[in-house]
Amino acid sequence: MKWIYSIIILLLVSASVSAQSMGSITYNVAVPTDKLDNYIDEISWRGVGLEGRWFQSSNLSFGVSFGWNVFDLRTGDVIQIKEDNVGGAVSGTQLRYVNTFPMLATGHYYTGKKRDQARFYVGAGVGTYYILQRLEIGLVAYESNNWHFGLAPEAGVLVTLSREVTMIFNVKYNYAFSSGEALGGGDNDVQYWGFNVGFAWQNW
Amino acid sequence: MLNTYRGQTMKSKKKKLVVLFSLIMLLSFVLYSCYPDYGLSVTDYDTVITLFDSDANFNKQTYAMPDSVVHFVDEGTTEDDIDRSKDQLILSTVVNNMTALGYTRVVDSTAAAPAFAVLVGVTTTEQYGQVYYPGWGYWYGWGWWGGYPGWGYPGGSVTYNFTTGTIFITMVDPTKLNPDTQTYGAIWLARLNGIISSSVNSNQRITQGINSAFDQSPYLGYKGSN
Repeated sequence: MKWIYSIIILLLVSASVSAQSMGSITYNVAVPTDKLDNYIDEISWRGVGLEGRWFQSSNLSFGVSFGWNVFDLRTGDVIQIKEDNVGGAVSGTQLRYVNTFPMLATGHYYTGKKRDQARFYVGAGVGTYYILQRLEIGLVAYESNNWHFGLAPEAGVLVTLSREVTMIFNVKYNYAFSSGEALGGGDNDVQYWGFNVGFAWQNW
Repeated sequence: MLNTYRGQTMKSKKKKLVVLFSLIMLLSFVLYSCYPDYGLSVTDYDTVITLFDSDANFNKQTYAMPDSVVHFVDEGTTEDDIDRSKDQLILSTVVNNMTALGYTRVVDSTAAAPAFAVLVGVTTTEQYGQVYYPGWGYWYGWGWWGGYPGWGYPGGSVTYNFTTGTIFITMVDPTKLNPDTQTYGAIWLARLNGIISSSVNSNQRITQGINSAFDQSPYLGYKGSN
């Protein structure tokens, strides 16, 4: 976990010392899609995001972002087994988990001017996702932990409440490309929508 | 001057609120686990695994089953520590399910050889690794098939673990003799993991577990001669 703390501190310090920069912390809700939705068809209410942005002009910024979402599900679905000449099934209480840790370099374009109360923006992140997939059934646990290359297009808005307080709302589509085989077989790409809300602090 | 001072105090309070919110968010996640605990009970750890030979023909009418449950023990051990009070419940639940599927149990050793043998066993030890079934001396001289040389796992071998109190139900096709290993082919295997290792609702768990094993095996059943 030390590397997580290091990134958090780096983001907070960097954003606060730069002349034209913005740091933010958000509460992240995530909605699984595609294969992740097949594995866990529940909304993730547990998520956090940290971000630092450095402005190249009043309308353009580059930065880094870090996130964490926990998807989990308890289910009694029967698992089907298919191997050469052998079939079968496994039943019992399953606990399914996926933890996603996106670490992305970001770029954003903003509408309006610095002092506008609401500034819409679009952008994207590119980088890596570290994803932990885990299945517990009975006394057995299976894990598959992998690094993925990923992309996250994004749209959002900054709402300035006062000179010191800015709220940030954004929607991201997280796409972590396949980097191997998932626990249940097949490609292990992971996709989900992220709906994020939080506070930003800016230095001008 | 006073207004300016008040304004600065208000801004300072807002900043503090933002910082406080941020710290709460961070702390809640630092303290939060990657794997939330669902507070499972003993029964949540029960699992039922069924495997079958996809080349097997289950549409045969008769089967034989011994009147007792074999208790697997460690090599070199002669006694086990699992009581036999559940044996009749296990056997009768298996018979009920087989009957419901259209199979007929043959108990007369002078009758024609049945199509399958159904064998029920319980572990008394915790083991990990590749499962294999040693020959059961139990079957020697029992009747139809002479000395029983044991049986192989459906389709070969699969690595998994099982724990004390696990129930095994195996369906063997005596016509599937592997000449290399001198084992009969097990065409269906049900493993009820740890069902009788705890006394919590054990009768209900045994019944439900065995019923689940048959329920999740829709390919079983005698549907009439082809």
